[in-house]
Amino acid sequence: MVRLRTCFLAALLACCRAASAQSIVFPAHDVDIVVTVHDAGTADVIERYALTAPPGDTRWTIFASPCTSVDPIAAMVDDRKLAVAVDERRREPWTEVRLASPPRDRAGAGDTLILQYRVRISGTDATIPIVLPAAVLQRSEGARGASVRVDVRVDDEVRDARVLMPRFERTDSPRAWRARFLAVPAFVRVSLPGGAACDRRWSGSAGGLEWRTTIFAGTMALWVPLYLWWFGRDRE
Amino acid sequence: MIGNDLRIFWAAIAAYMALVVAIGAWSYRRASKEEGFLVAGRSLGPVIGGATLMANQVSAGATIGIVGFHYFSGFSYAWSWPLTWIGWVVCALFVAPKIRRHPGLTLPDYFAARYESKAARAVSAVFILVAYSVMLSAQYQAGGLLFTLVSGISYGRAVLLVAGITTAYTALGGMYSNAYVGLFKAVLLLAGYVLAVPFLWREMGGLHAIGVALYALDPRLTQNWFGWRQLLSISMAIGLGLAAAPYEISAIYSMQSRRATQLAIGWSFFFQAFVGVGVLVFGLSLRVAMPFLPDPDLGTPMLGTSLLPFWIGLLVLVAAVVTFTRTGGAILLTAASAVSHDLYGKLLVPDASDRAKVAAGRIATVLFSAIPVLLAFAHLSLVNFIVIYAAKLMVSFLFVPVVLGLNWQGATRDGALASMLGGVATCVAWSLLGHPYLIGLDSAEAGVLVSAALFFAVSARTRPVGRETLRVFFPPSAQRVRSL
Repeated sequence: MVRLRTCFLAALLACCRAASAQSIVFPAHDVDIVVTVHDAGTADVIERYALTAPPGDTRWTIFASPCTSVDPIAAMVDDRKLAVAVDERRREPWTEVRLASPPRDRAGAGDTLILQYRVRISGTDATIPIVLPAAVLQRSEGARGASVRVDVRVDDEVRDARVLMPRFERTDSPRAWRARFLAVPAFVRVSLPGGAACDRRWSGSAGGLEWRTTIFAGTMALWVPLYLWWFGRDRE
Repeated sequence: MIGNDLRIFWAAIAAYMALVVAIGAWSYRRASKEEGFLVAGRSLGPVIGGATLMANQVSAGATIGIVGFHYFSGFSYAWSWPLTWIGWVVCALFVAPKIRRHPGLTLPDYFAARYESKAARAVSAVFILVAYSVMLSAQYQAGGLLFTLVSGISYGRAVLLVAGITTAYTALGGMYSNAYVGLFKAVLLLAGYVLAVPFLWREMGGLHAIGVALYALDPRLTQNWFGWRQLLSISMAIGLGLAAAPYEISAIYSMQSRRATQLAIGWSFFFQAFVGVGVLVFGLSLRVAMPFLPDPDLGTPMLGTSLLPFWIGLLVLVAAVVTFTRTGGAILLTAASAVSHDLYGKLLVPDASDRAKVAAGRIATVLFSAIPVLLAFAHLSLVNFIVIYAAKLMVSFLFVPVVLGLNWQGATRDGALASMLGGVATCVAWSLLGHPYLIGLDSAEAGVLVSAALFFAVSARTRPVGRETLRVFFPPSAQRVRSL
């Protein structure tokens, strides 16, 4: 019986090999992000990654939705600026950015990688992108993921603002929200009732997702009544 | 979750537990006889029966595992729902009407009666214990992940908590409890998903926006991450496995009549359709909102704690808790019945009283619950991969002797035994060889083919089953079939 079970488990692991393929890991598990929304249709974002090892050349991703644009990004480790290069082969809405590798003797465990950029937003529901490493963050000790703290603050001039998604808790201040996640969110959506109108429609191909989903949902919607009608005709 | 939110979450779990205990206590008296405990006194109608069938099928594999599958592989896995339903139609046409003619309580009862074989009863009961240990570990693992992420308690404690909740209500109420908690689960899933899907749809900018983002991330996410070949083999393993799954057979034995069973399958489709669309939107939205999660199985807990508004998120989280404890309960009940009814009551102590068998069932429920806890601690793989593998084992072992045995009079005891053992051995060996499609066949397909070949070849050369026995499953006239 024990041997049989061992055999099943070995087979199970063999079957699941595809699932265990590990993604690239970014060497940080403590991240602080502060988003400050200003009145003039701008938001400043500062990200701090407490490094646990030299990061090497890293790829980063920006989710740029309609009505949003990101100004040039400043990156530094230990007060030393890093070269930031935007990948020209970008695929909207994702833009890929490469950070040059900091010298090995100048970046490692204990250093902080800082990213800073300004986002220009319009519309009453603004999507503020967060520049995120194109890799899974290291897990904090004893946790299922990293510890990512995000603060959203709104200037006094911005009225009736609130965070729509992800879920944030309001802090003691009515103009500040805070949340903690296991991974870096791609964006923060904020409601700005006084914002200028903007067409949020997306251009680009959805890769057939809409018609596939329609056929899928339609198949299920038809199947249920057809089945009940067919088997309901027969009396016991 | 922290502070007040966490307190509300625990209060909701406590309320669910109180409801389960109340249902269990109410069921306890109705379940004092073995037929009450194992098959709810054969009293379930189409709607509660449909909720029961859905609640058995829609396990942590769906509410946690399939959300994770959509997260990492995109749209294509959605087709597994309608493809799996083909297995249910096979059940409605070729299994449910025939198996209802036999007044059994468990699947091993059917094997013993159809093949006049104590050995078939014993082998199937032992197999159920092994395969369901794997299946139950997936429920505990999913529960462990959810409670760890939501409340911050350690994974080990979380697994024990889930095992405790599941064991408590199953031991108390048996199938009555499972049926009514199943209805509760269906309502909760419907409510949670009906509220969550429109919210995500709106905040993510609609299906087109999600599609544009996913297609740019990886074109396979909106198209065919899984090819038709893979989808067919996975869906057939799950669907055809369901047609002969021990817990679904127990649920079929619990229905009022053949017609109630067939209509219940239709109602289960109704509930599953909502779940299918819901988990699809959940997985795809989360992939855009948080593209680099450390573990796809964290998708549903992340949605509940970080993406959805608090009350909708709470509903989705509690629905997930109900899902894995309820399906865990059905698995536990089936495994416990294999011990108490088949091994203890029929083979070891055939003259045991009804009361002794129910007591044995409750003790077996508690004892059996411990084995999958150890497997869940090992955290074998993604939840849905574990569920799929358990389904492959089951279809290789059970499909041929159940479905063909109910529809072909020439099947013999030796044919059934050879088919069960040969099928599952082939499936395991195929998986160990490590090639997903050796000579073009998936492990479950190879298992079913070998199982069928042995079934026919051995049956043709061995002593047939007696006519009186066959008359139960193959009545002489259609008129008589209807009167039964």
